[in-house]
Amino acid sequence: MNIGQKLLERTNKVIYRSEDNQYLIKVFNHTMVPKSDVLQEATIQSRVEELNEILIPSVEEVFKIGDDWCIASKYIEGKTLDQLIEEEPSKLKEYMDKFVLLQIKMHSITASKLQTVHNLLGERINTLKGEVSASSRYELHLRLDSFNRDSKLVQLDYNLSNIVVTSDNKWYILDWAHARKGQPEADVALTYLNFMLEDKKDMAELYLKLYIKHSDIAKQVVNDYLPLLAAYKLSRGHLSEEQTKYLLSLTNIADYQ
Amino acid sequence: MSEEQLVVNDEKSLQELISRVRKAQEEFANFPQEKVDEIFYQAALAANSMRIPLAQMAVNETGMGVMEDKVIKNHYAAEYIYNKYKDAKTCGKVNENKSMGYYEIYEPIGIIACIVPTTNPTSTAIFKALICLKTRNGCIFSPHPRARKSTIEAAKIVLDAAVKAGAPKDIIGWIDEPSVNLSALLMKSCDTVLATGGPGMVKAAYSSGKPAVGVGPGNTPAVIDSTANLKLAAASVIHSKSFDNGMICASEQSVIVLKDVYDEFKNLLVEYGGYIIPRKDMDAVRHTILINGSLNSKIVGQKATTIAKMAGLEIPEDRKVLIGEVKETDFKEEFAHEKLSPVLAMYKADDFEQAVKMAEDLIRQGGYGHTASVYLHEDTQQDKIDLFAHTMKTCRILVNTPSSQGGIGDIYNFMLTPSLTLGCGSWGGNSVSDNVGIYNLLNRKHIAERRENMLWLKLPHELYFKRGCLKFALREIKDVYHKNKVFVVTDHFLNDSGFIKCVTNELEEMGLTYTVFSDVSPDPTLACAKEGAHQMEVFKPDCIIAVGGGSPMDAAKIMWVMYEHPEADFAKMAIDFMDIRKRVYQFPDMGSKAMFVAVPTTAGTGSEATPFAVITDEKDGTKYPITDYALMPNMAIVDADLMMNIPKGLTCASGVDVLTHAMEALVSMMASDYTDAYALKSLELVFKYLPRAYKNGASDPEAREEMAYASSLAGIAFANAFLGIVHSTGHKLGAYFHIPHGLCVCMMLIPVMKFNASDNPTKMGTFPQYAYPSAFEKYVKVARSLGVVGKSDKEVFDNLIKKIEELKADVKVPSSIKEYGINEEEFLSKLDEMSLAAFNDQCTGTNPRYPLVEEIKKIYLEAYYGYKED
Repeated sequence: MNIGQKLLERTNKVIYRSEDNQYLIKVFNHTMVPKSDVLQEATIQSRVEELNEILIPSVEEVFKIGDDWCIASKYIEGKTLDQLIEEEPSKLKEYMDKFVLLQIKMHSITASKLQTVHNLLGERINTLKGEVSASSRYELHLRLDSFNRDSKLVQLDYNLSNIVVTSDNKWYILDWAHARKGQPEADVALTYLNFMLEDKKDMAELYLKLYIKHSDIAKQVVNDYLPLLAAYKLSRGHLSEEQTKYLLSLTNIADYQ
Repeated sequence: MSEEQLVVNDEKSLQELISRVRKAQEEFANFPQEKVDEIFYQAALAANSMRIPLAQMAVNETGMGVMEDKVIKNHYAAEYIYNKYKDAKTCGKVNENKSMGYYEIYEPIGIIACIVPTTNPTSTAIFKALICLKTRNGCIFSPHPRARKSTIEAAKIVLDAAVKAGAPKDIIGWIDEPSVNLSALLMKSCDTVLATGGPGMVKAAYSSGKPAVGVGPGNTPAVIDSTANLKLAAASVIHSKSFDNGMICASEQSVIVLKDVYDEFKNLLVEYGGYIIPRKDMDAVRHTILINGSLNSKIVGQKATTIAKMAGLEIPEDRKVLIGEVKETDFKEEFAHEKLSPVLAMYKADDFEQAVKMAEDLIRQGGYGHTASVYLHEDTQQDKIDLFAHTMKTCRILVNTPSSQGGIGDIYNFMLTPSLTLGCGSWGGNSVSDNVGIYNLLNRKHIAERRENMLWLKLPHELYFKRGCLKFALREIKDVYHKNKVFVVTDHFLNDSGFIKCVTNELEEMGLTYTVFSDVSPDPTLACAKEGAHQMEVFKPDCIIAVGGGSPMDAAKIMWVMYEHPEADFAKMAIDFMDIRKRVYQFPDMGSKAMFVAVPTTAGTGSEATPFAVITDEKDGTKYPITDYALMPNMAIVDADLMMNIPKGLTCASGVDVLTHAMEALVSMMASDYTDAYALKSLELVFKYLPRAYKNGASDPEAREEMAYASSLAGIAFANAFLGIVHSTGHKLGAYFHIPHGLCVCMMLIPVMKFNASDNPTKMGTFPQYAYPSAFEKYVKVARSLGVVGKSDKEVFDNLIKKIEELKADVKVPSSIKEYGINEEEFLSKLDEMSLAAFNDQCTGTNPRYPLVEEIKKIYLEAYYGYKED
């Protein structure tokens, strides 16, 4: 069946661009992704869309091809931010500033209808029985419980490649499958970690410096979240040995007494 | 758990454990003190004897700390805690005070959820189990997964010994496979959480919805002053920091050394086993102890050499503490954090103040509320100790003491309570700031029996009476009190008519210097009192004589206060009180400059024998009723010769004032046998002599004389029993409609008596002596003693009212406010405001029936329109 041009293939899904260039279609492999996960992703994206506060691709259709569930959302024509930075390295600082300001804008939005980061992280820590000792998991849970609960929109995959800038300079945020409500610092910690995992330490530090400069959050709270987001990244897999080692070192925490 | 093994690893098994412990605790709650003490003793002994195996187990299981030091902690937890509480009463009656009618009963709380940290897995378990046993609580342990076996073993040893000594078999329990979820469930299901641990655990405890005694992290700085015994300081810091490899929460995390002794102290630290990290290796150590701001769990409780190795440093095997010389005190500096290991930050300070400031920063950094320490010369540097103690926001401030061993109490100071759970106060987000002990695990019942207030009878120092006594009494001013300069206060009339000569001639004859102040008008003003006080300030009298009716006497009392205490604040003196002995404002002492003599010339206010004075602020009309026994005249001279020619109107108005003083004092909640005697006699005299005095005037000196005494007697009665709402309502009626005071209260008397006479009032007055609504009973008793008769109490009461009505008619008091001539519309328009003001009058407090404002309004209406039979 020809549904368009294949853009990307992962083990659990294939992503197409529709023939008329209007839609981006995700086809989920039914043997790996349960129906509820697909519907949840569509729901989360729709909820964020309905907030009407930031630009995101709208969900246009949820349907089935054979046994596979699919989500069709609007295709956003443009360049991702990492492409732009690659093309114009001299504008790095300018792009990073805008990248951070857009995230801060997102973090100012209350998203009461989404599920919580707290539950997500708690569940993810529990899945690490093989990798992380019971003692460290206990400490991670304690750390998690000590944070304030908040209801801000956190995307949990806020990366340069998930920002698309259109020709008329509109900035869209893509990929909402993991979005939750919670403390912005959790999202900041994850963006920072993602840079670190890509071995872009300078970018990571620049990003964190800019975020703290433009907002009123404390670096310490971002730091406090790092072990938890490291556990989250560990639970999601697809990591090199080096990356795993780095993340595990972050999860070895002890609480002050 | 001894019979059927229960393995607690999920919600269901935890619920089962909780119900078993609850059952055991319900039984334990009824144990007598002797049995509890025996259990406490045997449990402490057992824990003590197992201190070495438990220490070995803890080190083996957790891989942290020093076995020999853990032995000390276990030993301490068993022995010091037992020693501290062996004789403490925790069951039944305590703090009994029979004469005050008070005691307390200590009762257990129920089930205590005990959260135990990895750093002290056995000693904290022993400590908590023992204090729970001593207080008849059940306890359930939630161990840390890393120290699970050792904590459970410690709990089991205490449990077995307790059960052997007679405790219910399931009194102590534990979670076998700990998790944050089970710990949260336990905290939710228990009665109180006793959490020792880091911020996460403590926050979890406080969010559980159950009362929590949670403590938290420390970040102890030690300031080393130039005056310190440096050898003692260096040895103490190394001793404390290396203790159990630095895992005690009170352990020093940094030393802040004054620059003039910095190098010497640094050398001493090295001498005692410190290792100064070379500058080039600092970053390696920084990134070993902390990872992105989080404490690396792998260094916790490790030896200095092990941590050095992890950082890639080779250091001599005998080094006990790694010391990093650093400058920054904020969190960007890894060494500024709590390190839970033998790693110490070292700062240099220019002076003591800077050192204190740095210590303050470090405390804010991560040790709010915990512990701070200072080394200095204790005998000569108390100011520095005070500054340090004042500045540190910590609940323990230790002087010349190794903080690990010092903070837990009873080792280096014997007044600091021994404990392994150190409260951090509100600064640390805690409910306690003490070293936690048994008193945090008890419910205290307070049993308070009804007791009566002390009452009193306060009188002028002397009261002279009989006709013609003035002359003789005045002589005492010179002969007995040796006064020289007399300031006479009187009113225009008495001065201008020459009446005052009866006093001044006498003073002249005695050769005393005197001056007369006569600018006092009715309702004396603050301005008048100020003027008088000003003249006193110039004249400097050592005696004040007030001659006249209520106004000159009140004005003179206020002048007296202003003269003696120019700084006195009237607004504060006039603040209403519930109990004169508990009033907020402390009245100044009187009499250091002058004595006060009152010479009444009317028979009414009784002011010569009372501690009251009313003064009006002429600016806004506010009346300040000033009350304090400091205002009681030193001497009263009641000479009826001065009262012979009182005009009829004044005889009536002041005479009926006496009537209401006596009647209100009799039914006041503060009335006593003493005040009753004065009031009853006064009342008897009023009924007998007031009509005669009114009718016959100067031609009936006996009536004048007896009314003079009636006035003083009533004054004494209400000076001690106070008044009621006849006066509350009367005061405001006078203020709103400018009716003479005596007539006001007299017109209010009968409506108020009828209001008070209820045996089932809306609200009765609040005073321990006032057992039940008894004003009616008292009126009837008063009536009978006045000779009023009737077939029933009700009739006696009605006849008393009639008797008062007759008296009022005799002396021509209008039967109602309307009859007095107050316009109805005007009266009604002010009624609401006036009722509220009367409610708020100082006299309301002792009325036997506590009035609602609405009720006062009804009383006013009755007084306005004339009372009718119900």
